[in-house]
Amino acid sequence: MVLIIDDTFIDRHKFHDVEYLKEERYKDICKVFSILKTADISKVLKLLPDCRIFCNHKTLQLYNNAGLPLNIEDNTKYRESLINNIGKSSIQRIEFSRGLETNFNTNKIDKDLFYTNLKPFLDYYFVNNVLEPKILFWGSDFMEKERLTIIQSMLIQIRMVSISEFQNNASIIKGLSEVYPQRDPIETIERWINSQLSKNDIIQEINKNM
Amino acid sequence: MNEVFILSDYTPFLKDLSKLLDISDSKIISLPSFDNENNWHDWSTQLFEDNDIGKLLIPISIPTDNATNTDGLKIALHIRLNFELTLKQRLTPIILLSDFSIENFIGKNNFDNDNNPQYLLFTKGIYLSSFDVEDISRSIAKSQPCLPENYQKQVLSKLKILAKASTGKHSIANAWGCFKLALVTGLRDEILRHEGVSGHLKTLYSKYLICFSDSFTQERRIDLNPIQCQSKKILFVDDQADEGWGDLMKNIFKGSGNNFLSIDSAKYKNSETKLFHDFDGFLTECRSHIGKDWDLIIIDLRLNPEKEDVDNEMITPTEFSGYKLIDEFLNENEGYQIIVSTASNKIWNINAALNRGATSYYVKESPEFNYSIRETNKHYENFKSDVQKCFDKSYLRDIYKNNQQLIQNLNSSSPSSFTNELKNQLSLAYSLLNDAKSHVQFAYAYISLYMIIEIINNKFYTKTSDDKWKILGTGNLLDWGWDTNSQTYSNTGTEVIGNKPPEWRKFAGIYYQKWNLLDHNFIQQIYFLITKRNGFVHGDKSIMDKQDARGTYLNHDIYTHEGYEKLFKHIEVIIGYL
Repeated sequence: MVLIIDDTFIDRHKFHDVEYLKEERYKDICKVFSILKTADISKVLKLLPDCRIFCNHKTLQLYNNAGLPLNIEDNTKYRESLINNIGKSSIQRIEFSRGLETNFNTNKIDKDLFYTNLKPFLDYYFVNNVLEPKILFWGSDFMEKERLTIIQSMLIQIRMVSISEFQNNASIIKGLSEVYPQRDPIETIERWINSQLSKNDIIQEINKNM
Repeated sequence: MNEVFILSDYTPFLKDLSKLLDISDSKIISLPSFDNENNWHDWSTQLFEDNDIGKLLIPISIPTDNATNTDGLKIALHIRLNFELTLKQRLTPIILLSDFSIENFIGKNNFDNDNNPQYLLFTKGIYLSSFDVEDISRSIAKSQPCLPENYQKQVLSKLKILAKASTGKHSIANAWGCFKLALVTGLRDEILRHEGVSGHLKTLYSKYLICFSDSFTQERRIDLNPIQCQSKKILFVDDQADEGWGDLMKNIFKGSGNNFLSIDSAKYKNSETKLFHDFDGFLTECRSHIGKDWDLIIIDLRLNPEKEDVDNEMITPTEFSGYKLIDEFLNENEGYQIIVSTASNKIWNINAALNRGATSYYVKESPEFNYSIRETNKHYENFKSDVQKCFDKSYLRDIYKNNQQLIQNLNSSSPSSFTNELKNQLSLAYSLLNDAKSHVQFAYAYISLYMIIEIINNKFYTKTSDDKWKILGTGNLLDWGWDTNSQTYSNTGTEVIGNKPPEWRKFAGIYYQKWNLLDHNFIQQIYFLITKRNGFVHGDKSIMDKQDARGTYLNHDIYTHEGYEKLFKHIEVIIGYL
């Protein structure tokens, strides 16, 4: 299950279509809390054992039981306590906020991007039964992005090491498997050596075959 | 390579590359890590302040181990649009580095739909090179900056930067309007320090607009003719007060010191979304200032933009929360001087507020207008002129208050056609004063107020069959006249017979004979006030142009609110005797 705690969710419909989250099948897998009162925090905690990914608004505003926003001091106290509870578990926590620099490695994401990619992320689960957080960051073509990263790493290594070292370089071997999935990477490297291709020629060839 | 700098994430790859390119450590710029995109603006400003950068190498994907980012493009875009840099700095040649071909780079990446950084690749002064050292060296050698005169045509016009839908036009217009006004009032630096404004202005969209309209200037402006507002009480009501406008207005009305009050909208908003969590609380605080002695009130028309969005055609102007608040202030006191401010240029919205009684309006500049600084300055001069008009007319607040008090006093007496006539005349006279703009119109208001005396005289006098003037409940009118020796009014005991006696004498009869009052100075003043009225009505220059020993015209105040106020003070006393 995915839990989303976002005090600004009430306005989200103005910028994104989030109506789908009211459908039963989405509700089963993704629960959204917008105006979270302190008394309701326990309800969130009870859901944690089934939670795989916890997403919260970075500057989450919590509310007292009368529905009024907590003051800064109390808000920080309750928010930190909630986040500490997530930290103690093995749940992946993703933080989003408007204008936040998106970074997969630090689990931070711009809020607009988060909501843009939320539906493809949930839809991917229905097809593959896997929650793939990369989709939240990179969209549904995350595999293409990963492929690009692998190829980029290969290109960097091609620049850095001598051709004779290519066959011992894991990044180059992995990259070649992506560009030429049907070919033996070693054969490709040997072909390059035999043809006396320059590094620029090699990079040009890779670009043509991507 | 002396002038060439490189942006680096210090991976072995880029370290080696810098060495091969013979770029010294002092020319290697460390890639910072920011939480917020706007930080890139300040970072690039500092970068160029600290370094004399001739040419700049930026890997498109940086950090270089992650091909999913195109941050290098975004950083380059922030430099190109950094309005705080000189044009020369902004146009520094940038060589973007990538081993992907341009086809793969563009075809296989998803770019930010709002900023479209990929368009930068096709602008003048941007070069694309592989990571090959020779290729880079060639690019460095051939790279030339775009000429400043071609900045618009060969850089800005080729970019495609749009406002982020989630930021909202209202927020951008607010920051933009605040910034533009700050520029011409000499408060640019103060306002740019305000997170609420700079947060929006440092987005690529605003930066693009600022560069496009060339509206930023390093020139420090000083308002040589600031608004004179010492001792003036000013109320500022704006949902965006916490987003720069409160500070800007406080500075513009610096002269009023602690008499300037801006309602703190931040107290009622979510600190991150800047949306109201307690709009009713905000309105309640605004309402708590109704009835106080404000010389000027500035109210934003749409105080709750969430529900009163710029493009929402379904809302009629009278439904705007700002309009309703104006209505409430004016219901309490029609004499309040209100300037309605709005980020909307829809004339029917402004007209509704003006028709209700707002004195004037101020349209916050929107990026859509893209006015030049000269036009912004003219706009500000108009605002200052309107503020001065409001200050000049702020006497209406007290007159209205006192007028209403008189009407209320009359209400407490038993209703009659007489009291109704007095109340109607008081309202009519105030209305004429409120609308008075020309000298003659002030005189008409005066004459209308004077009619109160005639109404009272008419009520208290009946003409007897023997041609005398009977005062209600007492004897006949005596021949009151001014005795220069005793400096008092006196009579010879003779009853006035015949045609209508002058109004001042009739009133003197009521005053002395019916009310048994003795203040001769008061009756003398009434004499002067009525004479003034007669002088205007009959065009009698001997009265109107009468001067005192110092050459001051004694009766020309009929042409200003001062004449009205003098007469009003006496009317207040007279009605008190009824």
